[in-house]
Amino acid sequence: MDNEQKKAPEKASPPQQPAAATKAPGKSVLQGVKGTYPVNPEKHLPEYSSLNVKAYEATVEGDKSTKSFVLICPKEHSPRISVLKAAQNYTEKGLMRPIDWGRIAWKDGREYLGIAFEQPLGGRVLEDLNKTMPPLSEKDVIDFVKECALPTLNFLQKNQITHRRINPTNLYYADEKKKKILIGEAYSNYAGFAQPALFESIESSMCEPYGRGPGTVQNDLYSLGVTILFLVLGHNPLIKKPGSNDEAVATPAEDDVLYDRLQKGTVSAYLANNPVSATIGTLVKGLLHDVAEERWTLQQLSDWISGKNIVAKEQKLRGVTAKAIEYSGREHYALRSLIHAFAQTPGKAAEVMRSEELDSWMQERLHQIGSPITLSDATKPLKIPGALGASGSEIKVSKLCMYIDPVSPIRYKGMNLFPGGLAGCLVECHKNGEKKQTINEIISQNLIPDWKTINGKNKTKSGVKIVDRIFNKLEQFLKYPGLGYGIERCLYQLNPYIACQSRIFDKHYVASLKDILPALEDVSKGKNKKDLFFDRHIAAFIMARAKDVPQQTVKELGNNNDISANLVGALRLLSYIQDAYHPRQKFTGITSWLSKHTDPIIESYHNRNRRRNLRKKVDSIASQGHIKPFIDILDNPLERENDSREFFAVRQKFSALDQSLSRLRNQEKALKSHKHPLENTITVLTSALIMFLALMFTFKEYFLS
Amino acid sequence: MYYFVLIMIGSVSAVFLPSAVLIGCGILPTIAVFMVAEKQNTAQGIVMFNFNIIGISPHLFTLWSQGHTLPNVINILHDPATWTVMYGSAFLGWGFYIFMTFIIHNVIVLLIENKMNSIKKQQKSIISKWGSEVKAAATQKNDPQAVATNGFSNG
Repeated sequence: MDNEQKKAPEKASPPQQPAAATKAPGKSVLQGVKGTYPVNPEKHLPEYSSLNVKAYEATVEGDKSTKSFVLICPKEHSPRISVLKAAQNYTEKGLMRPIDWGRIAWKDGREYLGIAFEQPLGGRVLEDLNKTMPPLSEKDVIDFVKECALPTLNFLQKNQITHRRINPTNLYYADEKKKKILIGEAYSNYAGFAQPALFESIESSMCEPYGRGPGTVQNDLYSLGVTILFLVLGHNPLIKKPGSNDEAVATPAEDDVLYDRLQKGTVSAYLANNPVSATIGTLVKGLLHDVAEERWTLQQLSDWISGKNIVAKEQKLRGVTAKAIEYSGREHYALRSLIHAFAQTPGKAAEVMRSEELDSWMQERLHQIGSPITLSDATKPLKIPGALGASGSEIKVSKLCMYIDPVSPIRYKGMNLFPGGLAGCLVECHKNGEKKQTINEIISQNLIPDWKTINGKNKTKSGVKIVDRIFNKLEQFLKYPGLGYGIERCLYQLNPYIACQSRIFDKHYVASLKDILPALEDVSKGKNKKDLFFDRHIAAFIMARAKDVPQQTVKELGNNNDISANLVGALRLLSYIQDAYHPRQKFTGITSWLSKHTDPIIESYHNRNRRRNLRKKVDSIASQGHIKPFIDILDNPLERENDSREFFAVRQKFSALDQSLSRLRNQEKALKSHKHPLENTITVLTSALIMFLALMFTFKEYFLS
Repeated sequence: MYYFVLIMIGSVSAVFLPSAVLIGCGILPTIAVFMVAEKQNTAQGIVMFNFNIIGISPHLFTLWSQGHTLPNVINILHDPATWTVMYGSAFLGWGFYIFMTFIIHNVIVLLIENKMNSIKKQQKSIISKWGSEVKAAATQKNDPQAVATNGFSNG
C-alpha cells in the first residue's frame, strides 16, 4: 500500500497565498482549494485534537450553519495528502471527510498546514483509552462494522491507501443521538504514528510509532478487531478492574503487553479476563489472528457480516514450549519473544549466542516453526572468536533476528522499523536530531534489501515496493555529501508531501516548489533574515520535487569543495523555479538579497578589473527581480575561459619574473664578496686606452713637433 | 714558452741595453705588484703596468732623442724627478685601479637594484590586477586546461 508514498504531483500541494493575505485581526483564515475558512485561534477543541495536532473552531465562509474545525499541523509533520485527497472524495458516512486543506498563518506568526473538517455532532466515542464507556450492544457493534468500518476500509483498499488510526478515541458519533459512528482523521502525519501500540499487530507494535509504515488493510483490520473489543467491553481489555466512567486507570506498560502477546498470542492476551459472546468472539478472533496471512481479509469480514459462515482460524502458538529461557530479566517461552529481547540488547545477545548455551533450545524452536535455516548457519559468524567488533555484533544480531523471525521489523541499534516506515524515521530523526547515523547504517548495511529478500514472496509485507523502487537511489544520496544529497534528500524523497524543513523558512510553510520564491521573498524583506539564501534542505527539497533539474546544476551543487560552484548551482535552481512557476513575477527582495551573497562567485574570477565589472553589473540588476540575469553575468562561459586563459599567461609571466628576480638577488649577494668580472675588464681597458693616448701624445711632443 | 719569452727579452735587452736598463729600473713597482698580487687577479698589475709605461715613456723618448747610450741612461737615472715620475705614475695606476673598480662595482650594484625594483614593480602591478593567488600559483606548474576547468577553485 505505497500509493501514498508515490512522488507528489505539484498540483497536489496545498494552495498557496502570500502569508499576509491570510492574516486577519484576531482570526486566522485557512485558504483552501474550495474556499476560505476563518479559524478562531482562541477556541481550542481538545475533543478533535490528536497527537501533536491541535484542533480549533472554524467556520465555512458563506455557510454559517456548518460547524467545522481545523487541525493545525506543524511543518515538521509529513501530512498524508494523497489520503486526504482520496478521503475528500469519499461519499459514504463512515469516515471523517476533510472539507478542505491549505496553508494558514497562525497567531504565533508562523504558517501551518490547516485541514478543515465538519464537526461530528455527537463527540468522541471514548475520551481516553484508560477510561470506560457504556459498552455497545452486539447489534450496535455489528452495525458499526457494517455501516462504517467495512465501507470505509473497502474504499481505502480500492484507493490503495490505509487508515492506520482506527481506535475508539478516534471514533466519533456523527449525530447528536449518538447512533452513527464515524472513523476519525488519519491525515495529519505519517501512517501509524498516532496509533497506540495496543491496536497494532505484534510485529507492528514492535516498531517505533514512526517506523510502522503505511502497512496494508490487514493492519487496519487488526486495529478494527481491538477497537471492537473495546466497544463491546466498554473499557481497555488489558485493564482487569476498570474504574468508573470518569476515572482513569493505568494500563500495563507497552513492553509488558507485547511480552504477554508474544507468549500467549494476542487473542489469549486480550480475551483472558474478558468473556465475550460467541459472535463477537468469532469476529475478534478472525481479526486478531497474529499470523497476517491467516487473519480475516476484508472479503471474509464482508462475507461474515452478510451472514456467511466464516470461521476464524484457531491460532496455534508456534515456537512456544513449557520450558522457559531466562534472558534480560524475563522468562521467554516463545522464540519470537527471546529474539525480540536479543534485538533490543545486541551486545549481550552476541555473547549469549556465542556460548552455545541456547543452541538446543533455539534449534528446537526453529524446527517447531518450520524455519528453513539451521541455527548453526545463522549464528556461525557470531561464534568466530574476535571476528566481530561492537558494531559488527549489532549488525549480525540484527540480521540473525531477521532470519529467525522474518515477519518482524528490522531491529537495529534500538531502532525498529518496517521498510515502509523509513520515511517516518527520517522525519523523526530530523525533528529530534538523533539517530541519523543509525538510519545511515540501516541503509548502508543493506538491512532493507535483506529484509526484502527474506520477505520477498510475502506480498502482504508493508512498504516493500516503495523501498524497492528507490533504495538504490537512497544509497547514492547518502554517499554524496554535496548540496542536494545526503540524509536531507532521503527525507524529501521518501516524504513527498512534507514541507521544506529549512531554517530559512522558519515561519513559512513551503509545501511545493511554487512556494519557495514567495517565501524567500518574504524572508528577504524581514528583519531577521538569515545570512544565506540557500541551504542543504532547500537544495534537497528542490532536487527531490523537481522533475528535470539540469545535470550541470546537479554537478555544481554536488561539488562539496567549491562554494562558488554551489552558489551558481543554487542560483540556477532558483532561476529554474522562477522560470517554471513565476515567469512574470518580480522578486526584488530576493535579487537584492542574492546580490549581497555573490562574492564567492565573483571571487572565483581572477582578474580584479573583471571582478569590479561583475560587481557593478550585479549591483545594476539587484533591483530587477529576475534571477536568470545573475547566472548570465556571473557564470558566462566566455568570460570564465578568458579569465582562466589570461590568468594562466600572467602566471607564467609572474613565474619568469620571479626567476629573474631570484637571479638578480643572487648576483647582488655575490657582489658583496666577489668582484664583478666587468670591474677588472673595464678598468684594464680604460687604463690601456689612457696609456695609448698618453704614449701617442708624448711621442708627438718628442718626435713630431 | 716561458723560457722562450725570457730568452727573447734577454736578447732584446742585450741589443737595446740602455733602454732595457731604463725600463728595468722604471718597471720595478709593476713587477713587485705582479709578484705580490694573487694569480687570478692580474688586472691590478696590468693597470699599474699601463700607467708605469706612461711614466717611463718621456724618459725613454729623451734617451732615444739624446743618444741611446749607457751614460745618458745613468744621467737620466741620476735625476730624482725621473724616479718620481716613473714610480708616481705607477702609484697613480694603483689608485686608478682602486677608484675605477669601486665606481664600476657600485654602478653594477645600482643597475641590478634598478632591475630588481623594476621587476618588483611589474609583479606588484600583476598582483594588483590578478590578486596574490598568482604568486602562489607561480610556483605550481599547471597546464592551461587544468586551470580552465578548475576555474572556480581559487576564489
